[in-house]
Amino acid sequence: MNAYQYVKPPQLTEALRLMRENPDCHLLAGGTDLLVRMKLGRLQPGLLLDVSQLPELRTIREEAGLLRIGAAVTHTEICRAEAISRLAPALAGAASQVGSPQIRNRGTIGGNVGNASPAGDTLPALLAYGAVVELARYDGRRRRPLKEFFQGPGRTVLEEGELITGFSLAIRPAGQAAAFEKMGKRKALSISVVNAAVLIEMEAGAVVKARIALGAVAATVRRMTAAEHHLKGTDLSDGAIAQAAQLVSDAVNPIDDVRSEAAYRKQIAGVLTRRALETCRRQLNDQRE
Amino acid sequence: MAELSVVGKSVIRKDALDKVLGRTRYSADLKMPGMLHAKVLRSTVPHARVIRVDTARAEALPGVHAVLTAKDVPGPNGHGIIFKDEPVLVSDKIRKIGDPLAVVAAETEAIAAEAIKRIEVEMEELPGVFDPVEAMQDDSPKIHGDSNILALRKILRGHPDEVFARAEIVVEGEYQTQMQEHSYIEPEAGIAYLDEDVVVIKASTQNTHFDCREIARNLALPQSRVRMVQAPTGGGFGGKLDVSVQIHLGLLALKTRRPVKLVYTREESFIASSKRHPCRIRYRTAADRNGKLLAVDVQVVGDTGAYSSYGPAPITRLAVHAAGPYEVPNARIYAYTVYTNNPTAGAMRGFGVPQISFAYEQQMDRIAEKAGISPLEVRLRNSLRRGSVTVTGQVLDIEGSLGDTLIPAYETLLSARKNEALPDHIKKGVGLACMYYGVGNTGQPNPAGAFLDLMEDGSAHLMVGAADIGQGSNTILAQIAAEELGLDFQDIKVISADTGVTPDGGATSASRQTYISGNATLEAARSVKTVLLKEAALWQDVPVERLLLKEKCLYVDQKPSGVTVQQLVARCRGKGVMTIGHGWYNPSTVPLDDETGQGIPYEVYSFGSQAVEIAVDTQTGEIEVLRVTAAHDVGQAVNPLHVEGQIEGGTLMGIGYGLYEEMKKNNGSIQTPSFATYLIPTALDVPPIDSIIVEEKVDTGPFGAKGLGETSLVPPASAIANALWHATGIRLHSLPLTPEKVLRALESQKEWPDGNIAAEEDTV
Amino acid sequence: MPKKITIQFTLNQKEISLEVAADRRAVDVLREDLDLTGTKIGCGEGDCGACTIIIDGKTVNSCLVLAPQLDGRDVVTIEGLGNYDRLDALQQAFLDEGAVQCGFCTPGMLLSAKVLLDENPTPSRDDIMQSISGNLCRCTGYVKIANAIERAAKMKAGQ
Repeated sequence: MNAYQYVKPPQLTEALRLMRENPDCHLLAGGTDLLVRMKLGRLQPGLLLDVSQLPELRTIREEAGLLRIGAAVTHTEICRAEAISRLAPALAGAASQVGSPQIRNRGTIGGNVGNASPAGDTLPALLAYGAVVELARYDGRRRRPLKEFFQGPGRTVLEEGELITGFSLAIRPAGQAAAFEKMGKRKALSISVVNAAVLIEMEAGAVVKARIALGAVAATVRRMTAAEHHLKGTDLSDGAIAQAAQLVSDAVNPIDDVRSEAAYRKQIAGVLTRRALETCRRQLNDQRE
Repeated sequence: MAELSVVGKSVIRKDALDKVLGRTRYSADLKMPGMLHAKVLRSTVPHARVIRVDTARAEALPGVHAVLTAKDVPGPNGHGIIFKDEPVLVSDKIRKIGDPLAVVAAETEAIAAEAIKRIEVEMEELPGVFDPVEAMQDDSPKIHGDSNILALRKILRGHPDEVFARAEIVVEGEYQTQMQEHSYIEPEAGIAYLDEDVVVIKASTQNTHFDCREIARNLALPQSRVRMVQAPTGGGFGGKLDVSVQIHLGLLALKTRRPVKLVYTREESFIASSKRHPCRIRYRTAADRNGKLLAVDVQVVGDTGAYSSYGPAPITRLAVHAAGPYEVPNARIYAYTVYTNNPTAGAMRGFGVPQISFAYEQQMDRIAEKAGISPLEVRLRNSLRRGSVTVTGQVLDIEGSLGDTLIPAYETLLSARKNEALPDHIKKGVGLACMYYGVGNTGQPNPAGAFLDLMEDGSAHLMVGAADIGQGSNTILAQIAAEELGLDFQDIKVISADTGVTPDGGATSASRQTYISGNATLEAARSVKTVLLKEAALWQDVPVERLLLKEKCLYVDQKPSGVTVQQLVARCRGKGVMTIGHGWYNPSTVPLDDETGQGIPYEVYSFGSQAVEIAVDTQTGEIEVLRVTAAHDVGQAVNPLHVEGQIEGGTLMGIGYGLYEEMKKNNGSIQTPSFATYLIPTALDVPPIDSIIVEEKVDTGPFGAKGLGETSLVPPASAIANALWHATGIRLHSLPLTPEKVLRALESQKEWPDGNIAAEEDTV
Repeated sequence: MPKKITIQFTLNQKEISLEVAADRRAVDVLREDLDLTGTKIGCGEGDCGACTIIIDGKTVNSCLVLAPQLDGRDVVTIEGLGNYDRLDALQQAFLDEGAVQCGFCTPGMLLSAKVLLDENPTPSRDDIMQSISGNLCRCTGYVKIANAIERAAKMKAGQ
C-alpha cells in the first residue's frame, strides 16, 4: 500500500515547489470533496498538500478597480464579507446556497472551481461577473478568463504543478445588477438541478452588457452567448426577457441523471434565466429611484 | 377513574440525558480488548450462480483471523422474518446486489477491507427480473423455486361485481408508489463476544428475541447459549427488523473466540437493508349518487425484491386497509407479493398502508367530485364508526368516528390559512387524507411479556423485551408501571430487549409496543400490586377494594394512610413473600381466511386525519407544503410530548415520501446509495406542523392507550396529492410528486384544457 | 505506512498533543484514539452532520476534516458542551422540549445550535432552521429541536 503524506507549507512559493517535486500531490483546502473521494477509494495515495492557510489564498481585497478573492476563501467567508455583498452580491447569494453550514465553513471557492463540477453553485456567479482566474506554477503565473477554464466535468486548463490562487472580478459600476437562481430538490444540502447567474449593465435605458451563465445543463458551466447578444440594446422588457429565456432553454444540452431529467432541466433553465433577469431589472429600477 | 399521576404527563425520557451529553454508546461506539473488525463481501451482480468462492489470498493476508463462507455456517444457512429464504452467506445462488458471499475478521478495518478485495468469486451470471409484473409471468427468470409469486392475499366481501354493474358513480385509477428507504441516521452495527459458553451479540435492532432465534439456528446452538442484547439504536422505522450484522458477528466470534465488531457504511446500509415495497395499484370504487361507498375492487402488486423478509405481511396489511377508514360493504381485493432481483422490500413505518392510502384517498376525492360534495363531506359520510363492518367482516366496537380527527384537522388548517395576493404562477390548494391503522400483527398471535421486581426501597426493575429504538418505549412502559404501582417514575429502571434477561416482547413494529408491551407491563405491575394490597389489607384490616397505591404510599379511601410502599415491601419480605410479577399480553384476533380474507385482524385501531395546504409553482412544478394539521387518535396519550414527536417525525417522513424520496434502481442496482442522492427532508423543508392529540380511550389498552408510531406517516403524501388537484386541477398517480411530473401534467393540461386530465403517469 | 505527524490543538479547553497518520480523518482520531464517541458517523461524506464538531468557532463535518488539519485549532466536541453536573442550557432545553428521540443526530444538532447561539443570541425560527440545515434527523421532524433551541436562547438571555 502506498502511503499518504501530509504537508502544510507556509508560503505559496514553497507549495509550488512541492507541487513540482511531487507529481502525485493532491491539493487540500476544505477537504469537502477530497475526503469524499478518499473515502470512496477514488484517490491514489500521494502527498496531501494543505493550501488552506496560504496567506495569498486567504485574502479578499479591493484594488485598482478589481475585487480579488483568494482561492482558499471559504463559502461562509464569501457570504459574510462586506466587500462581496457590496460588489458581487450574486456571488454571495450563490455561496450561501452551497451544501450546508458545515460544508460552507470548510469548502473554498477555489475548490469549487477547481473541481469543475457542472453543477457547482459559485461557478455561474463567477462567470456572470466575468471573473478571471489567477493561476500560479513554480515557473510563473498566468490569468485566464474563467469562461475558458472548464473543459469538461472535473477537467480544466490547469496544468501539472499549477494551482488556482484566486479570482479577480471587475468592480461593479453604477447601472449594474446581478442575480443567482438555484433549483434543488430540497432546500438545503442540495446539489443543483439547474442553477443560473445573470449580470446586466444598462446605460441610458439600454442593456450594454449581459452575461448569462448556467450550471447543470451541460458538461461544464456555460455562458449563454446567443441570449446575451439578444439582450444587448434591449430595454429588458418582458418580451426581451422571455426571448432570452427561450434562447437559453434552446441552447442548453442537459442530461438525465438521478437528480432530474434532460427535458425538465431545459425548461427550468429558461425559467431560472427569466427570474434572474427579472430580479436584475428590479434592482436596476431600484437603483434609479 | 382516579386521576392519573404519571400517565399523561410529559416526563423527560429515560435515555435523553446520556444522549444530550454524547455519552450513549451505540454499537459502533463499543470497544473491547482484543477486538477484531469485520467486513462483508457482497455481490455486485443481481442474479448469478456461484461456482466457487476462493478465500486463500484473503486468508494469507497478515492480520486476518477468519474468512468465512457458506460452508462455515453450521446451521441451515437461512434467515428471514416469515420464511427462511435469505442465506446468511450465499452458497449457490446470488439473488440481488448486496447478497453476502463471505465475511472477514481482521485486526483492523483496513486489513479486513483489503482481505475482502482478495476474495475471488467465480460465477455464472443469470438473467434477472426487475419488474414485478414481468416476474409474475410463467417464462420469467425464477428467484426461488418455480414461481415468483410469494403470496396472494385475497379479501372478498359481498357482491362487488353486481354493485359495480349498477352503481351510479364508478371511479377507476391506476397508482404507482416508489421504493422508500428508512434512512435511520445510525447505520447497522454490532459487536459479538464470548462470555463463557454464551455468544453475546450487541447490535442495533428492533427485535432481539427474533434475532436470537435466527442466530441460534444458524450457529446450531441452543437459544440459551446466544444472548442478544439491543445496543442503543439510532432509529429503525422497520429497517432494523431484519437480521443485519447479527449472525455474521456470531459466526466470527465463535470462530475467532475474540470480540468482533461490524459497522456498515451508509452505502452498505442502503444496499443491504430492506425497503418500503414499491406497489402498483389498480383501484375501482363504486358509490351511489350521494357519494356513499358501495364497493371497491383493488389489485395490488408489491415488489418484494429478492427475499421475503417481512414481505407478505405489509402487503396483507395493505389489503386489510385497502378500503381506508370507510364503510365499504362489497370488496374484492387481490394483493400479490412478488419476488424480483431488486433490493428486498420488507417492513417500513406504515407497513403497506401509505401505499394504498395514496390510491384510496385520491379515489375519495374523485368520488366527492362526481357526487358534487366536498372532500370533507365524502369522508364524514363514509366513516367507520361503532357497529360498522370492515372489509374483513370485523364489527367495530369503537368510540366516535373520523370526524373526531378530521374536523379539528380541517378547521385548524382553515383558520391558519393566509389570504394573500399571489403571483400568477403560484397556485394554492388544500387536501385531506384520513387513515386507520390496526395495532399489532395482522391476525397473528403477537404476544409480549414483562417482568417486574419491586425491591426493598420501593424502586423497581422492569424487564421488557420491547426494543426502544428512539420512539421512547422504555419511558412509556416505566410510566405505565409507575402509575399502576403508585411509584415514582424515576425509581423504575427499565431493562429492555436483552434475551439473557427480559422476556420476549416481539418486534418494535406494527405500532404495538405501547399497547401490547404496555398491557404486559400493566399486568406485571398488577400482580405485584395484588401482593402488596393483600398484605396491606391484612395489616390495616381494611378490604382491598378500599386501598390504593399512590405517591409511593398506601391510600385508604382515597386518603394517605401514612404507610409507605417501602414498608409494605418490607412486611412482605419479612414473611418471605416476594414482590415480583410477570405479565404478558396477546391481542385477541381471528386469522384471516385464506380464500375470503374474513377474520378479525386487529383488536384495536388508531384513527387519524391530516389536512395540508400547499403552494404549487406552475413554472417549475415545485410543490411547497405550507402547513400540515395532523390530528391523531391515540387512545390515551401516555406522554403527550412523545406523541407530538411521533406525529411530527412521521408527518415529515410522509412529506418526504410524497415529494422526493425515491430509491432509484436500474436492473437491481441502487442508483441513489448515499444521503447526497437519496434525499430526506432537512430542517429547511419542514412546514409548520400542528399536532392535534385526540383521545378516544380503549378499554383494552393500558390506561386506554393505543399505538401511534406509524399512523402519521400514512396521510401526508395522499393529502398533498389531493391538494395538488385542488390547486391546479391535475392528478398525479405516481409517487413521489416530483416537479418533473407536475410540470409535465400541467403541460398536458394546457394541451387538453377541457379533457379529464390524465397525465402520462395516469397509465402505469 | 503513512508518516506520522505530531499535532497539537485545544480540545474541549484542554491542550492536547498526539501523533496521527497523514490520511486519518478528524472523526476517527476523536472516536478511536481519544474515545470521544459522542461524535457519530452517519455517512462519512458530509451529507448528514452526525459528525459535526466545532473548529475555531465554526461547525464542520469531522468526517471531511483531515486530522493533521486540527493542528493549532480550537476544537469542541459534544463532550465539551456540558457534563452530568452542569448541563449547557441547550442540553437542558433538548430534555425539556422532547427534542431527543433516537439521539444519534443529537450531538451534532447541539453543536450546530451552540454556534448559532454564540453568534446570534436572539435567532429567528428561520435562523434556527438554517443553522441545523446540515444536520439530518429522521425521528423528530425537527420541530421539537427548533423549539428547544428557541427555549435555550431564552434561558441564556435570562441568565
